[in-house]
Amino acid sequence: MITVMLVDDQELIRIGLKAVLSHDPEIKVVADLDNGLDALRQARVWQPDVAVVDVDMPELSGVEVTARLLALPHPPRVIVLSVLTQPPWPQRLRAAGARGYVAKERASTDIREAIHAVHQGRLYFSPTLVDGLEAAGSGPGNDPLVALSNRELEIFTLLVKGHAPEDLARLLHVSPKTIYSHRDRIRNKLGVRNDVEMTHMAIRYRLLKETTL
Amino acid sequence: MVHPWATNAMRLGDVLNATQALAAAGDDPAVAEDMVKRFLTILATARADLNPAEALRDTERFRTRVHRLCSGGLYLGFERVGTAARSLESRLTNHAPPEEIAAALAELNEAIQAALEPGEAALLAWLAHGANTTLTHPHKDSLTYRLTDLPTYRLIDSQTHG
Repeated sequence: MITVMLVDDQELIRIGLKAVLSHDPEIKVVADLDNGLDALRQARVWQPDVAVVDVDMPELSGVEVTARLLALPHPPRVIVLSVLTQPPWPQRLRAAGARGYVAKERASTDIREAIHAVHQGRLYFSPTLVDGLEAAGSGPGNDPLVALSNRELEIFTLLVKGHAPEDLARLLHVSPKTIYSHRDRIRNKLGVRNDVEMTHMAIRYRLLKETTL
Repeated sequence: MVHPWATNAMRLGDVLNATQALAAAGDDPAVAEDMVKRFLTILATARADLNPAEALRDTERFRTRVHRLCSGGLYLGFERVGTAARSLESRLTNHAPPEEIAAALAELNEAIQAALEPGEAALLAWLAHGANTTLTHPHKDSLTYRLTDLPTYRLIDSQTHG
């Protein structure tokens, strides 16, 4: 029997997934929770084999929940559910330690296979995601953007779209100095020297389309 | 000439992918019906609340609400709502220019309006029709009566148009 914990802030989706999984005699949903903090508490109690986690939840994001679940004494294998199917998000969650990544629109058809796959120690990506990653020429795990924190990725995205640091400071309600610090750290992590190289990297890893420049 | 039932079915099919809704509920028509009702309630609230003023007042709360429309819509098969919400969410996350956000919001509101326009009874009948044509399930008989109770959105089945 594979024990599973569901974590999604939408009750609608938890109801649906439980109904889908109820057809599988080898899977038992032991807990369903609407936020990451409760998930961390309940994971200690239930020690599920697999945790299915929504990426975008209030309070604690799926990236943070994944990383903290994996730091538990008996960590579950984590499958991430997301509407964010374009790079760099699948790679980011993979880097955080997720073993599976299921597109939300395919969750009802893919989730059982994903649970069995990660329970057996394999990786699982929804077929549409795999196609996208192969088309981009960047499989999971080799994207340097995964090294950025969520905030750094946000700032990186805005910078390569041409926003001046002073504009960003106003937009994000921080000082220009903070933005410059983030920019320096981003450049160090990515190994680039200037905005032009940052922009080239954003295009190469499909964070930015050339047509948007 | 397109028969009226076909036109109605196409309109309902544009709003809700009944096959996906059933799959999202583990192929249980009763669960699917409950989920569709819940999502329609969310849509009705969103129609009243999703406006530019709300977006400016509390951006994060607004984005969370849009995300739930995206997430629920894509999962349940309200594809137009889900896609429009994903487009708006992406623009909000990337701090797109206000005019782009306004355009995406208008598109989402149109999708919500289109989803609510047929009414709950018609969508549930459409869902039941999907269940009857694709499934053999112990609960399906309890839902079939609605197929003939809807003069405006009457749907074809083998008994009425056979």
